[in-house]
Amino acid sequence: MMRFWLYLTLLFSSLVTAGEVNNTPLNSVFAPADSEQVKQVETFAFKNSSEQTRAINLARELRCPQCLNQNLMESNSPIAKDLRLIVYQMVDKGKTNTQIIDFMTSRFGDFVLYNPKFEARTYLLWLGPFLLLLVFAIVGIVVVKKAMLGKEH
Amino acid sequence: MIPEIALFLLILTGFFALLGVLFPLLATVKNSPQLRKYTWPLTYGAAVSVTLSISLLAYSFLVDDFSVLYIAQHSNSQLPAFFKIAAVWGGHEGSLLFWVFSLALWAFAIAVINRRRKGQFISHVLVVMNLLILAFVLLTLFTSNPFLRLLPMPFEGRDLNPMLQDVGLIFHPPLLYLGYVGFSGVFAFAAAALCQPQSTFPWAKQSRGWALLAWTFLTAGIALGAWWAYYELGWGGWWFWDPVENASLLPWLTGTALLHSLTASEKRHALIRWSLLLAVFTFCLSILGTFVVRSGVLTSVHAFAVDPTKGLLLLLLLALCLVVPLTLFANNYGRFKVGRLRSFYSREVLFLALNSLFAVTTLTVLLGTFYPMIFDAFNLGKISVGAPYFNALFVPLTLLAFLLMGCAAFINWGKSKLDKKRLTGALILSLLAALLIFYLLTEGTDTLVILVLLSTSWVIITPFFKLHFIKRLFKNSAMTIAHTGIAITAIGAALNAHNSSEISSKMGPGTQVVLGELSIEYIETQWVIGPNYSAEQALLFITDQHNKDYQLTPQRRHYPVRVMNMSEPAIKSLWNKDIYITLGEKIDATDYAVRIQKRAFTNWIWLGTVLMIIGGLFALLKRFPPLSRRNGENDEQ
Amino acid sequence: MNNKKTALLLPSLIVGLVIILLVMGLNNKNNIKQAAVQPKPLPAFQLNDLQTDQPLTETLFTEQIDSEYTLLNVWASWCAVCKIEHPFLLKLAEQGVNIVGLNYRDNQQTAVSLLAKTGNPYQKVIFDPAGKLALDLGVIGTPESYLINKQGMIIGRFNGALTPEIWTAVFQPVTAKLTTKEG
Repeated sequence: MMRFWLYLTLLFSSLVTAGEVNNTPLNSVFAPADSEQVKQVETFAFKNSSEQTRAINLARELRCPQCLNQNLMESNSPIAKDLRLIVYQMVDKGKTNTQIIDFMTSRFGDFVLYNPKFEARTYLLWLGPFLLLLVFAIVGIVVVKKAMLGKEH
Repeated sequence: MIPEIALFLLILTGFFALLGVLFPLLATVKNSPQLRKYTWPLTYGAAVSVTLSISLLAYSFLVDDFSVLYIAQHSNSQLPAFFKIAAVWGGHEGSLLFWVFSLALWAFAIAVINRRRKGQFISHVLVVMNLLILAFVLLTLFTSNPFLRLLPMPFEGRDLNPMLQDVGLIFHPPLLYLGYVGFSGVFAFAAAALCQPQSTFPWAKQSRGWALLAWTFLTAGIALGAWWAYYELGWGGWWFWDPVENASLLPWLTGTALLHSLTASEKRHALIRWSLLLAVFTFCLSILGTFVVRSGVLTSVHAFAVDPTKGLLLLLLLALCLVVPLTLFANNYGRFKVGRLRSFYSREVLFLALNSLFAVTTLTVLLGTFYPMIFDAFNLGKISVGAPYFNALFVPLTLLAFLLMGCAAFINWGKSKLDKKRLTGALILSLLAALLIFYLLTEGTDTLVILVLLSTSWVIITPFFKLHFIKRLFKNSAMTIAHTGIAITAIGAALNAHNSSEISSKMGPGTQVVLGELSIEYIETQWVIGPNYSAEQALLFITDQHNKDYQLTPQRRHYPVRVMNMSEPAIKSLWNKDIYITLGEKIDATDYAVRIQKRAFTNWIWLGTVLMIIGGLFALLKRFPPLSRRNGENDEQ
Repeated sequence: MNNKKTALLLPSLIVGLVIILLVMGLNNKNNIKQAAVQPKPLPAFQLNDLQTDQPLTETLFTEQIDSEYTLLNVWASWCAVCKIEHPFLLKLAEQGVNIVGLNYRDNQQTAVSLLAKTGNPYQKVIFDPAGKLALDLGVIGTPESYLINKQGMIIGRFNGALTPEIWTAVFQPVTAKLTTKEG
């Protein structure tokens, strides 16, 4: 039975592309994760549950720089685990969310923020829906009023 | 040999579809019912042909024909049989073939239902369907042929990606495709109506049936996808606002609006132009969705392999499906027979508000999904738009929708009078119900949860305040069930986000950990051999505050062929929470990192979607009086 | 009527706009686009040399190396794509470009023997097994290259394998500006 598995694997290694784990990075094969860091991030002990909640929620809002659209909590890639650990440690040290976010964006750019900043370049994004709602409401009322007036004979 | 026959059948499908376009058009030009009749057997022929083609592909999978490139890439002789069949739609080429298959099935259904009076209007509907079939056949043949050979033939296939080896794969894509491809039917009806605005064919009535069926499939497909992601991916989330997920949500949003709009159109000739536009946009959003998944224009974990050229052809198709109907719409704008609006306080206006709200929601999700792409294309930089954005905007819009939904009980077609007594009664009862649920089920205060509870109890309670609600119980049952469904899903989602908790620790045999009222003990590590994997399995005993006992076995699986490791979570589903355990990295000789989560009220999310599907099916059943009665429609010559 | 004509054209215009946006999005994915880099100081670090275990800090780029600019190349022995750019790096080194390597999350023995086998384009290699400097730099994935000037500022950056085309398109414009300034 073991030999069968051995031969199977050897024979088809030509068909197998670079080894994958749960998510594939953009242009490299993964290094074996540093087991010390893995141990730290996966068994991190927070001082209390509200800190844990804050850390986890913040990690969910940060994007893994190397993955195909996963946040730091979802991804199992080494860099995601590293960054997750940094988030945990910074929360533990009492840093605010803004400080942690600035730490990340100064290194990786705004790309790693799933919650886009509210600035001139994103006014359309954040305000667009309200404008749309207003436009539809106004147009709707006008149209209905017109339709009603037209019936007055 | 067999793959070549299947390829030939696919080409044959294209020919049937081509003739299925030419004959009815010729018949209209020459005013010949004789020629028109041929449309039906041609449509049937296309359906039969593609069904055989895809069946032969499935057969080739079952017999492990690895000389076919697609099969070699997605299958393996050790793969269980049902996964071999599911692998037919597991990859890009096969899923496009499935598109053709779905289109042909829907065309077949439309043809069969309308087989008694083979009128001109329906023949035009079939022209549109056959055009779509032809377009996708050409797309498949020239850019994504699943029948290409691989020589020399490999001994073994590359295996289906282990993440896809799950019962979810068997049902999620087919349901999803049947759903959003199904909106092609309504699209075809709308296109035919746009060409002949004066036609008396009751297209709104029949469209509503097709829209209901497509909507039900799409709801089931999306729900199944969310459920599958939940229990397969390991971190307890069920919706990620990933571009591909959004791509399926967009037609669902406009499709839901379409359902309601068609009701107004069918019953009161109201919102006719809205219905036409929604029908066009829903199907176009389906094509956009397919484009997003296959072209790589947006980064997503779900996307098929990136290939921009396939994307361009889909864009061309999208452009045609938008430009032609919209230009016809602009041309014929004033010619549609529209009903009269008698009062501001009427269901017609309520539905107008609803349509507008759904339009805004759709545009919002569209904006958020494509904003990073546009940003980058204009060199403004790279940003990401994710869950925080979507949740912030989608939730208030949903709450507004719930408000409107509840009002339906008090506002009737034409003209209604405000009944203050009933309204007050409903408001008070909703408030009480919300407070009761809040007190019994939630922990801690959160404004969002309160708002959700208030609006959802409003939705659930108001149908009981309808006039003569018992007499009209059967008549309104589909609506009530479906609305209750979405309300329950919303409650589940809100509580799931707010009341869940987790703990991660290093555990080995003998370790015990506490999470809230749960006590978790790690008993031992076991070894499991699966059909195409081997796994380390942890045996855990969980006890809750009532001393009820549960046993959970999360695994870490190793798939040798694809050299992939996967963590398979263990879930215990209870009515008010899921105990969700993931086995993480091995930390030392005996211990693992174990992540234990209490996901609150997850079952409510699924229950709600099941109710929505039941509501849809109910509405469909109500439309099926004995088939002989279905053909009394006035048909225009 | 003119109104009618405009109404008829409107759908085509709007759809055209949508399609153009989507096509732009598609093309964007294919283009090598590196937005202009805001000059940032190189993060401080304290790591060891891969081959000699001597301590190295950020002064490596400002005091110890005698050139206008240095190319900092992030690589690893397990990185398949890095092997593709390796010959070009050797060529660049021959042409006199100062290259410093940053060995990312790697096994020291494997990395050293790989360099011995395939050639060493690096003046020095910084050994970063925990990815600390890489994190501070904001490394997204290997291979990745940074251009650092004599003042220790990062003035260029590229994520992906270096090829002659990319060197010409992304880095040479920046290096040219440096040499003309001195001249």
